[in-house]
Amino acid sequence: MTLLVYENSWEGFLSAVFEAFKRKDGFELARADCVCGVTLFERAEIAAHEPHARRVQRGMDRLGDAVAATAYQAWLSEKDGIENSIVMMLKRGFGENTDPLPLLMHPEIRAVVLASRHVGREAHRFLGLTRLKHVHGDLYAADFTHDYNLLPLMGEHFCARFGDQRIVIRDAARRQALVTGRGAWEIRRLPEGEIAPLPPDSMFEDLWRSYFDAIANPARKNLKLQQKFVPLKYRAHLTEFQGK
Amino acid sequence: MPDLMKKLEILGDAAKFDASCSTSGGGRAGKPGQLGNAHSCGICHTWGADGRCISMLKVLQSNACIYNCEYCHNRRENDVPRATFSSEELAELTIEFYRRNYIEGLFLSSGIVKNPDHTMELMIGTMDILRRKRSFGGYIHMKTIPGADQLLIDKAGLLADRLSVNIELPSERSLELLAPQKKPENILTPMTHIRNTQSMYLEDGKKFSHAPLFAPAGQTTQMIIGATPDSDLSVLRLSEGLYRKMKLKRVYYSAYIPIGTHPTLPEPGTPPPLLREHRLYQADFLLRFYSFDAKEILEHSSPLLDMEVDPKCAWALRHPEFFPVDANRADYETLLRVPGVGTVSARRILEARRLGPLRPENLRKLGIVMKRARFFLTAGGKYEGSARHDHPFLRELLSDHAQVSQLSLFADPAQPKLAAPVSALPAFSGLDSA
Repeated sequence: MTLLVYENSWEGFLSAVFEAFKRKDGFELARADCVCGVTLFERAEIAAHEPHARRVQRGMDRLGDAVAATAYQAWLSEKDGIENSIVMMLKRGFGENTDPLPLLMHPEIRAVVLASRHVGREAHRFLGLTRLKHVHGDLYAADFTHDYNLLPLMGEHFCARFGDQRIVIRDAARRQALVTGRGAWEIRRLPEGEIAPLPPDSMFEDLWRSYFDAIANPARKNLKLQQKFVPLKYRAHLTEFQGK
Repeated sequence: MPDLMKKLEILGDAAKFDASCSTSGGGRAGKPGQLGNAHSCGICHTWGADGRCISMLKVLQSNACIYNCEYCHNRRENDVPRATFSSEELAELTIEFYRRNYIEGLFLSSGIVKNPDHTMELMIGTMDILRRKRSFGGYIHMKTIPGADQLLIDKAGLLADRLSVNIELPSERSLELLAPQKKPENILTPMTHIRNTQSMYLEDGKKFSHAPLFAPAGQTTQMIIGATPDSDLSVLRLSEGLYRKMKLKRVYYSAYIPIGTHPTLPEPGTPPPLLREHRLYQADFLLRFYSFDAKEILEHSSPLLDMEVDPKCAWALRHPEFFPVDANRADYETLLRVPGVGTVSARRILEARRLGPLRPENLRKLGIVMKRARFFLTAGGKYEGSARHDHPFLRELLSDHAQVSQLSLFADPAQPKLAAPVSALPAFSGLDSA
């Protein structure tokens, strides 16, 4: 059994997939930042290789319209073992020369499709749950925390919607930030060192909290239902729940 | 700021009875370098303490009102704090909330200030500042005031994504009794005008790529449930008529929270009929997405929805001759009739079927709720339901006890005081789908 360790990027992962297809013996894939210390398996470091990555990408595109997007979204979930499930799904697809996505009776394909769906839903949810603070001028910023790596799926939306603003959304756990401005967006590494808290934006935050409390109908109070849609773990960065 | 805060508290609180929260159905592309766009699927931004989605700044332009509708918190005779936003301050508030990603846009209603036309002009003033001066591309839903001039409705439609006229109560007689200043023709005429104007602009849009948009997210309405003795069958027939004849996108149902002291209304303090509202929404989905007619969901002999089972299960229990359905042969509409099979899982069955015959173990993986569906579905000649198929046994298995107990926490739902047979209360002339 060989552990294929790839650098943490989509291109790096596709390069490792290419390598996995060449191997007849058992293998597992793992991100470089998830592997530390000694492992029982033989270890092979796979560097990102653009031509290999492109071949895998083209292969996925030939299988079906949604295969690459589904694999990418599932990969962003960073779930344990999702890389291996993606490889197994692609092996079945390439082996039978068919779009593997409808074959939900196969557990590895089902795992990939469900992970992708869940990541997509969470990314959509966080388009609404991200609260921006006005820093100065046209600059607005927010902090973001999630088990999934959702920022790459949110860039297009924030760039298009806030066309006259510059936005920075920081993911401290992954030390990266989504940066938008002038009609473009990208994911950048955050500099090393402590991440300073965002400055307060008190006037409109107070107005928002006041509105949030006023608009709920007390005769229909249902905190359990509220928690179902806004779990406690998501409330740290939500203005309306701070101070409660 | 304290002034603005106070106004926002009063006018946000006054708007909480409006159930509509949707920001979907339209889709407005933003302009490069400018603020705002709208997604056709809508985005929810947060959820209030009542569990309802908050995706817009939902406020009244003013809660001053010349009308005295018996069921309304803001009626003229009620002693409540009154406030009015100026168009500039409401537009500024909307923009600043939008910039911080608190909202998708603005939901604007109002009490009637002086007269319907004056009220519409105030609201159009706010939208005009947003769209024309501030180039705001976000979502705007505007309430149309019954009785307003058609030229003002035309102006509003060119600025808003969605328009709505509240039908308020499920029959003309109820309206006459509880809101005599709101004439039925003042509600139906603007609805018809919006439908016709929207249709005309849609036709123009097919021919000219730069034709302006008129209320691209369509129109909706809302009715209050539990304030009057109108049955669920009357409500559903009216909704069906609104969907078919007025081409509405949505009908919203709002459980009545008793505040008035009119002799026909439930007394203040009576719990709102939340479970009945929930069942009506389920029945509404059957009308819109499951190809049901209102007369299939309920009959004159039994005009009230079953509170213990959802309307689709209730239909299935009444029609055992329709089942079992073969998952490998049935068409889409037939599959939709099976309890536990929704629109998404029915589509998945059709897609998976193309790759090979389905067996019962495949169905669960396609998202079908086999706990219910197994009594009504076969696959590959196999039936996973029980040998017992009698009505009480199935009914017990399909009952939604958890939901019923949650929504019936308040022991006695609001009961209207007037009792009347269904046929004595016509809905709205020209809208009844029967």
